[in-house]
Amino acid sequence: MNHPWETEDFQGTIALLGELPEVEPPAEAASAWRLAIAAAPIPRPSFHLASLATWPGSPRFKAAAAGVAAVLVLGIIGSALQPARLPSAGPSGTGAVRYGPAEIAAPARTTQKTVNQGLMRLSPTAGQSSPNAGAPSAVQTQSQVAGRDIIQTANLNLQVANVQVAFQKAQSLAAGDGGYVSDSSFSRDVSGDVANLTLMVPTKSLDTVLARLSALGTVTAESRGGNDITQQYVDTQTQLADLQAEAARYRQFLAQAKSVSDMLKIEDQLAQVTDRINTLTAELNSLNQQVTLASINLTLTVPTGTPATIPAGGLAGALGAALLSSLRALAAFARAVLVGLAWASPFIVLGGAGYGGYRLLRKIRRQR
Amino acid sequence: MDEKAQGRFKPLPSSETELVVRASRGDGEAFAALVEPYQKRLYNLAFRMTGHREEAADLVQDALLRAYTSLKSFRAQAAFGTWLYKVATNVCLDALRRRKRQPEISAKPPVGGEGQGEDPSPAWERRQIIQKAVTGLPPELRAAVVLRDIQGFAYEEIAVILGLTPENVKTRIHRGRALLRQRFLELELLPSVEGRTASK
Repeated sequence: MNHPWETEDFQGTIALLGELPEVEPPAEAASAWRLAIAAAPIPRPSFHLASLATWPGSPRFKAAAAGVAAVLVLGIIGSALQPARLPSAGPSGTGAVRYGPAEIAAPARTTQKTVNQGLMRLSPTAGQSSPNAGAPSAVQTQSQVAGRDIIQTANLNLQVANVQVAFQKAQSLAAGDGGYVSDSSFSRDVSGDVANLTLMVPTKSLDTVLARLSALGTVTAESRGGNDITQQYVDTQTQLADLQAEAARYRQFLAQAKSVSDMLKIEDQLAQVTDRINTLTAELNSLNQQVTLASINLTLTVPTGTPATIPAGGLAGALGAALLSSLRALAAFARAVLVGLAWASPFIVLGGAGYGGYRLLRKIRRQR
Repeated sequence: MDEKAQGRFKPLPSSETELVVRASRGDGEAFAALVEPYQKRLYNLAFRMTGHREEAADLVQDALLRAYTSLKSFRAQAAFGTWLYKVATNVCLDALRRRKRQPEISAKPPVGGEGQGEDPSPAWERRQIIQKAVTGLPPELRAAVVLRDIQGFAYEEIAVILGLTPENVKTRIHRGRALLRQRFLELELLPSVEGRTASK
């Protein structure tokens, strides 16, 4: 509606503009626009009020709601069961929790208990094994909780009498459970041998392998961690599904294309989408592998100073520790001598042969 | 004019809301369905702004793509049509600023557009002259005049589309009309003051 002030002077002008009719878009324009929209990059979803009306139907909303509900339920169950399941501390109040035979013999049972517990317990106390070593340990955890995708990691420090032997046993243990050694190092200094291994084992066997590794020596430190990648996994899956749907639409458009230029454009877009699909598929595979395999960082050392295996306190204990330390040093010296002899043996043989030949020549000359 | 202005932008219907949500999640078909009712009007806006049939189609496509990819900036409290027109007007203004030249008016009626299948008639030529006068306006004034006097938007709607106050919109429309009136007088499409006085 025109205001009186504007029509007075410009009535004729407005009338002339009103003569311009409404025009129809070109016949092919609508299909071109639709094609362009289909080929456009997918806008990133964003939150706005209008989306609330349909959010409950979205896969992300369902996944997030299910995740929150699962965490809440597990948290409630865990907090209800946790006090009764916590093991009693050892006599000293500190001490490394050692996996007892029960855990080794029945890994499935311990895993189930941890699922019920619902919470991950980390880093046990230091020292010797608990008196009730056969009871369920507080260090147990679950490999997967109620469909969550969790990357499991564990750190284990062991004091062992012989690092090399323990090193080989750890390798065998990982291989026996379908795992492998992804990284390893071995060093020797004045304080003794040190070995570091990174073992990759099936997540479902993590508890079992840890228990068996712990039996190789004295646990001085242990920790476990988990990285929940459920949301990342769901996001990647959603993006992949979107891209696959987009690719299907492109193929549909490709079948309906009426010109070569349209086909080329569609094929270009399809190639880009396919590349992104391949990338996301590889990412999903990688996530799957990370969830399937847990990593264990194992450190093997020889006891130093006052060995943790020798009860502290008392003159007898101190003398025993000193004697044991001395014997170990003697053994290490003898071992070093043997190794040195082994290294020098070719030279010794050659030197001996040469000296024997020299003595033989001298004897022959004297006889002449 | 009044008929054009009636009921152009209504509150977002629920079906449109659903389409907006689906489109914002990357559903191209939902977006195509969402903008389909506006395409003809957008094309007319672009055509009157540029005077070029093919360029208008290209600009509409650019506007739709820009709207699709920036759908996250749309807020439900604004009418979707208003927002879409705002995007399209900005696309047209950007193109005109880049071009910075007078549009060429084709000598023959454009195929498929205004005057399809007709020989150049006096009425067609008259409309071409009017269109040429419109496209001769500075882009900012042109947008205001086209939206008001050809598309029939209310001042408040134009203010939202152009991002101005209603007073500024009125000023621009007034200046645009004054330039057009002067041009129409030169082209003798409007009677001169002497002529009007004599007729009275």
